[in-house]
Amino acid sequence: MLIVAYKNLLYDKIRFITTLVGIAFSVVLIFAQVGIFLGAMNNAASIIDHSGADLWVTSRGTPNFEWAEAIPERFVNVVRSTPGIERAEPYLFAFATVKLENGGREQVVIIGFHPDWGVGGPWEMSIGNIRDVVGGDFVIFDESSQKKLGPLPIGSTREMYGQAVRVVGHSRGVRSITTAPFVFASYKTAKKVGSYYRPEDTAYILATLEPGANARETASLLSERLPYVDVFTTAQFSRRTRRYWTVETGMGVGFALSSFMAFVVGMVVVSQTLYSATVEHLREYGTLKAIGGGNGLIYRIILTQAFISAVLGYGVGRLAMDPLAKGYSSTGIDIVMEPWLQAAVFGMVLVMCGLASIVSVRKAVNTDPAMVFKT
Amino acid sequence: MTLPEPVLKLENVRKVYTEERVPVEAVRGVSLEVRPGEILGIMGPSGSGKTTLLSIMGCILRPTSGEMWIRGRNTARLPERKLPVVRREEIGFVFQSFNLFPALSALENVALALRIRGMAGREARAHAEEALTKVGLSDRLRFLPKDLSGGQKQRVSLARAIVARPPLILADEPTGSLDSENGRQVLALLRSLARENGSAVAIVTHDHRVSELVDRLFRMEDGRLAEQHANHEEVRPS
Ligand SMILES: Nc1ncnc2c1ncn2[C@@H]1O[C@H](COP(=O)(O)OP(=O)(O)OP(=O)(O)O)[C@@H](O)[C@H]1O
Ligand SMILES: [Mg+2]
Repeated sequence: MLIVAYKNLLYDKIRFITTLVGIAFSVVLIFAQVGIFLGAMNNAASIIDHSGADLWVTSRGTPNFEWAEAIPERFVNVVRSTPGIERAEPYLFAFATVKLENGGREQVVIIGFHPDWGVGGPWEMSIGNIRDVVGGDFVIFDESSQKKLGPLPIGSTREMYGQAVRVVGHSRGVRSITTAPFVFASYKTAKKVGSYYRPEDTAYILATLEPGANARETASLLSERLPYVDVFTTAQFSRRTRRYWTVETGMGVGFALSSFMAFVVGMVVVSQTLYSATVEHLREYGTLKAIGGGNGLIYRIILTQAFISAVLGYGVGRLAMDPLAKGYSSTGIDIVMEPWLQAAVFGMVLVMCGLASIVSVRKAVNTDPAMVFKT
Repeated sequence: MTLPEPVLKLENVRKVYTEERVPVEAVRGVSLEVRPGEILGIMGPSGSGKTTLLSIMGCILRPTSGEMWIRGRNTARLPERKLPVVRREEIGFVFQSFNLFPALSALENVALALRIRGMAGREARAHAEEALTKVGLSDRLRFLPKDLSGGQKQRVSLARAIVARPPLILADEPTGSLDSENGRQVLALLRSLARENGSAVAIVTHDHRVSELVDRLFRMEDGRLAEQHANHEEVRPS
C-alpha cells in the first residue's frame, strides 16, 4: 500500500535529492555544532580528567583549568601534612611561547609536573617516556602541536622565552580548548620557561588520597587549613571547567542556538519539498480518497515519505561527517561522535521530518475527492 | 417473481451548492432505482448536473436532501468517515482524466484498488494482471501511464474499476479524452466487463453511441433526470 509513498518519492528524483541534501546538510551542521562543542568541552577538561589526581588546590575562584593564578608553593607542606593525603606536589600551568623556525612565535601552554609521580603529566606517549624530562631542560610536545609548530624531532632544540629546551618525547591526544599546544616539562623547567610565576609561587597543588580517604571530606578539611584557595575534587574541577566554557562564555548557548537553527533550516527545507510534492500529487490523494482510501492511509503515505527521507538524509549526513571530522581533527578540533549523540541526532531528524510533514498531511487530508471529476 | 433488490436507489435527491455567493441547485429531486447488472446512460447539456449526480451516487458528494441507498445501506445518513468504506466496497470509478498514479506501473495502479481493500500484495498483483489481460494490456503491465496512449490509460482505469468486482461502476465521460475509435472500444469493453461481473453501470457522457450500448437511457436537464427509453429485457425480468 505504501508503494505510493516511495514510488512517488523516487518519481521526483530532483526533489527527493533536494530533500536528502537538505536533511544531510542540517545533520552535518548539528553534528558539527554539538560535536565541536562536546569536543571542546572534553579538551577543556582533558588534562583534569586524565590527571590521576584526586584533589586540586587552586587560587580562590579559579573558574577553569586555563585561568590559574599564583598560590604560594609552600602550601604544599600543609597539604602533605593533612590526614588522608597520600602525596601532594606543586603543579605548574603557564602560557609560554615557542620560537618557530621561520622566526615567528607561537603561544603554547607549558605544564610542569612531577615526572616520578606522573600525576598531571601526559597520559599517552607516542615517542619517549614521561621520565625523559628529568635531568635537564627537556620537554615533551604533543604530537598534534607539530601542525602549528612545525616538525619537532626528538633531540632537536627549541627556544621558549629565551630558554633553550630539548625535545625528548611526543605525547598523544593532549589538546586544549584554546588550541594552544601543550608542552610538558618537569616542574623546575616549566617554571623557568613559564616566566610569570615568582619562584615562591605555583599554579596548582595536586594531591592523591590514601586508600579509603574521602575526597570531599579531605577537600573541605584542606579548605579550612589553607587561606585564599579553593580545593576541588577532580570531578568538581572538571565540571567547573566545562561549566565555565559552556555557561559563562555563552559558548553553550551559542552552539545550542546554531544547532537549533540547523534543525529549523532542515525542517523548513523538508517541509517545503514535501509540501510541493504533496501539492503536485494532490490529484492522486483525491483519487485515493475517491476510490475509498481513508485519511489514515494518507497519513501513512506522507509520514512514510518523511521517514524514508529522514533515514536516508541522516545516513548521507552521517557518512559525510567522517571525512569532515577527520579534517577538523587535523586542525586540532575534535568532533565528538559518540553513539548516544548519533542516536540523539537521528531522533532529532525524525522529529524534524515529522514536524515538517504536518502541513503536507493537512493539505492532502483536506483534499476534496470531488476533484477527480474535474479535467 | 420479485424484482432483485436495487443496487442503488435515490429518492428525491437534491443538491444545492452553497460555497459560492449565489447558491446553485445542481440536482433537483432525482429519484431512481438501479438493478444489479443494469447499464445506464445519462446524457444532457453541460451544466445540467450530471457530474454532480454521479458524485452523489458515488458517495463523494452528500445530497443536500433526499435519501439514498446502496445495496440497502442508507448512505445519505452515514457519517462522513464511513463513506470511504462504501466507496471501496461497493463502487468502481472511471474518470474522464483517468486519474492514474503517474509513478506507478499499470499493474500497480490496478493492484492499488485491491490493496486499499486490504488484499495482500501478491494476490492483488495476480488479480490486477488478470484484469489488465481482460482489457487487452497483458503486454503493458510494467508500463508507466506516461508511456501509454490515452485509450490504453483508460483501459487501465477500467481494469482498476472492475478488478474488485464492485456491484456498481460509475463512469463520468469515460470517452471524453479519447478519439472516437478508442472511445468506442472503451465503451464496448466497459459494457462487456460489467456484464461479466454482473455490475451495474452508470455512464455519464456526451457520446451518442452510448445510447446503443445501454439498457436504459436518461436525459438530465437543469438538475432533473428523465428516462428516455429502456431496452434489453434480459436484465429486467418481468
Ligand atoms: N463545487 C461547486 N460549487 C458551486 N457550483 C457548482 C460546483 N460544481 C458544480 N457546480 C454547478 O452545478 C451545476 C452542475 O454542474 P455539473 O458539473 O454537475 O454539470 P455537468 O452536467 O457535469 O456538466 P458538464 O457536462 O459540463 O460536465 C453547474 O451549474 C455548475 O456550475
Ligand atoms: Mg460533468
